[in-house]
Amino acid sequence: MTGRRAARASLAGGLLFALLATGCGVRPSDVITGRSATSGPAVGVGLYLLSHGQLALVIRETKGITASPEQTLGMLAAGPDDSERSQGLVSEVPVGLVPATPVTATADGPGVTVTMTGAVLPLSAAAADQIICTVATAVTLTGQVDSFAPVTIAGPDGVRAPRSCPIK
Amino acid sequence: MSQVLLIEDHQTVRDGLQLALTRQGHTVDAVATGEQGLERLRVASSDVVVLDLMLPGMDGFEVCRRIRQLGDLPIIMLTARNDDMDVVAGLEAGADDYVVKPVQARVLEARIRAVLRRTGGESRRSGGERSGLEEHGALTIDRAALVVSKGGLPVSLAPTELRLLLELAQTPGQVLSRQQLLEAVWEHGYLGDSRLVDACVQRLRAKIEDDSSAPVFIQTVRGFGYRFGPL
Amino acid sequence: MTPWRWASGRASGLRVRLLLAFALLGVTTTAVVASGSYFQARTVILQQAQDAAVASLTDQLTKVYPVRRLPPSQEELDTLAHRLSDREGYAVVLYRDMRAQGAQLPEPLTPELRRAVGDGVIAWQRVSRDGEPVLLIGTQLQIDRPDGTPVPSGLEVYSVRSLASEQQSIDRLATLAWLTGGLSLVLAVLLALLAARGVLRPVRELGRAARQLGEGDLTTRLAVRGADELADVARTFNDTAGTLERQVGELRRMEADARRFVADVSHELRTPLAAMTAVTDVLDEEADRLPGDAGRAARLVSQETQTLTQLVNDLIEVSRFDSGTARLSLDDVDVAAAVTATLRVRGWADRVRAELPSGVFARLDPRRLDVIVANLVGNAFRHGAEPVSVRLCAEPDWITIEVRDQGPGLDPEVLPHVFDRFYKADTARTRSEGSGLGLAIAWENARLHQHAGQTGSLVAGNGPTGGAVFTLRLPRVVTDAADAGGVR
Repeated sequence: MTGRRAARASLAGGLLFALLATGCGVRPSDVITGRSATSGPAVGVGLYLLSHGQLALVIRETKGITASPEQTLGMLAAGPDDSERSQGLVSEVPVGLVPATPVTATADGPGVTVTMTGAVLPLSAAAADQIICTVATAVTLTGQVDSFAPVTIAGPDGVRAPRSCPIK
Repeated sequence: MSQVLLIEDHQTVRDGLQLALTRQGHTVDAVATGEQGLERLRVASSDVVVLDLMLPGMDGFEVCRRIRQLGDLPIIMLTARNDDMDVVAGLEAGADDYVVKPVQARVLEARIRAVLRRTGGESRRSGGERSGLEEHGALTIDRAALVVSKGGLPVSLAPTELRLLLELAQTPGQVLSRQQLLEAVWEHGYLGDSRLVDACVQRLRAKIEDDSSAPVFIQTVRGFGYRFGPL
Repeated sequence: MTPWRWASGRASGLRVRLLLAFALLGVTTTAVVASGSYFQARTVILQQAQDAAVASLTDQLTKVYPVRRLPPSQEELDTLAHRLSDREGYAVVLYRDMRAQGAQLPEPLTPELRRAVGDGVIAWQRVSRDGEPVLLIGTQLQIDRPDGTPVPSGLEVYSVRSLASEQQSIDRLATLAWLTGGLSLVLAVLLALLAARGVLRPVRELGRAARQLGEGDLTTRLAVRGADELADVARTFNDTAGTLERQVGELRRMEADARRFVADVSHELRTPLAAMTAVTDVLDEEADRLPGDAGRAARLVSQETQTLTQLVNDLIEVSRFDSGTARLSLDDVDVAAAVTATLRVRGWADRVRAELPSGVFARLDPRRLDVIVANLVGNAFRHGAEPVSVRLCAEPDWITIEVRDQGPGLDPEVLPHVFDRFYKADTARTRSEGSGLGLAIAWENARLHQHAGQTGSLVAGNGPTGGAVFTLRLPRVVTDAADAGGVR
């Protein structure tokens, strides 16, 4: 009777002590997540290049001039500059593939349509996404549509299915 | 024979003792109270008083003291068995001996004879063996006449006291045990009551010593007995 | 009781149990409260530190915007890392394969943090770096698209901050908690001692009172305080003690009454006996002259009167012992002479083998010694068989007198009762052989001799060769003069 009670008491005491001893100080923790990451505005023209096959935003200084979507696509078609290339950024958009007409709203649906000068059907998916995201961003700047509006790429060889920029 | 005054309040005891003592040849005068006894002593002479301590009216101790004041008449107390305080008080009041009730007539009779021997002619017999005067300092003992004087003045001693003094003075400077004195003076068997001796010594000292708390003549030898002198 | 048993007995004592209970209660309560508040405070401290760090980082990062160039050059990365580093920590800035770090320290970032940051949220994690707690905060730098939706820029900023100061605060809290625990333990022990005293004092008093009661002090009572269970116990104790005292008093009174009755009867018998005794001699003398039956009757009356007298005398003697009025009349006695006298007076001197070394003096009551020896020797003659021997031994502090007979000895069943009053071992024994009080009186007389804490004793037993042995031991008080005085 006494022995069992003593055993229980010492067990409780031991647990307590263990808790106090191990619980002391600052313990390492798991990762704690907060709100979404810091975000802020950018000044310049936003293009989408590829880094290791993934879309990557690039901002180029424009010295205060606001570039139109067509001009922006023109820059994209010019390919990455030296510094961009030195950081592993590439573009799959063929050089010289520029809009033939201004970007217009799609006639029979939401979003916009951009008509290119060259063939668009052979474009790789990555190249198409480069164009779609760049156009979407540039057009958003004018306030016509939002960034996730479907973009239809048309060319002399046909029309690609409308698609939204995959970057959420 | 002798004249015995018996003072005893219980009639049957009185009658029994009177009957027995009379048969032994004594003349017994039996009364029931101390007052009657003292009255009888005034009108008639007695040789010995047998006195019950438990009396109605004047108690035995007072009677004992009164008789002592009258003279040297021997007194034998009748006491309850081993009533120590009574024995001591009776001896201090001047009794010469005591017997315990119930007592057989022959025991009482023997005591009466012993007491009587200390007085009268029988004691004179032993005293006669040494005639003449003994001088012990201021104390003069005439064994023939049985007279003791101190500084020329006679000292009145009761018979037992006188016998005790004679016994002690016979061997000056020698210690006598209480038992020896009991046998010699009281004629008790070996196992007498040593308080008899102590009480008698006290009374004797009161009469012959200058200071009875610092005795000269009768000295106590602690643990053994008494000694006469040395002076 | 072995030491271990003793220890365990004490360990489960009320005081210790109270102490343990209080201490356990105190410590548990304190531990729960202290550890609860400790953990709470620690969480708050860490959360505040983390929130502040996150807020500070995001605040600093707003200054990075607007972004003018992407991808940044290495210098730009370095500048950014440098700007985000301060006293409390440093920053690590990553852009794809590029990296800038505000301090030259090993890579602290954990893969799981990198994953969480890659998912587009601000994430932080506490890690231990060389035993030092470190907080890692990481976030992507995103670019707002014109319509407000963010796009990852590929830039990731990590802030590495030491939590050493927080660690210190928390350690102080822990110290405080331990201190509180210790203090409360001390307090609990003190309280327990106080409570134990309060509870144990009445218990101790109860124990003492019970012991006193057991030792015979029936007047023992407890002071009843309060109205708790212990007071109930005290009241019950008092009631019980009261009842006991009353009953024992009743018994004692009844016993005293009985004894007084015996004493009174004895005294009342004495007067008629005194008259009868006085005339027994007359009867004896006349018996011879009386014809036939009358003479025998007279002798019978005379003889039995003496027997009755002896019985009454013995009863009176016994009642004097009972009433405590028996007194010693001490004298310095030559023991051998006294015993010899006892034998001689009763006419036993020739029948008894006496070994009595002379010169043994003791201070005792010679009359009582006579009574004892006479009773023992008389008893030996009556119940034992001759030869009866009396042997005296002297020790420095004791004298021993041994009375031995050559009879069958005492039956073991009889032995404990030999000194009982009116105890008759042999039921066939005739009444005339003694009052039945002789040995009881001898025993009382022996016990009456006391000196310096030593009490005389009388013991009955059987000798190795059969026969009863009665051993009398009396304290011997030798006075100086007894040895010095010459015997005439």
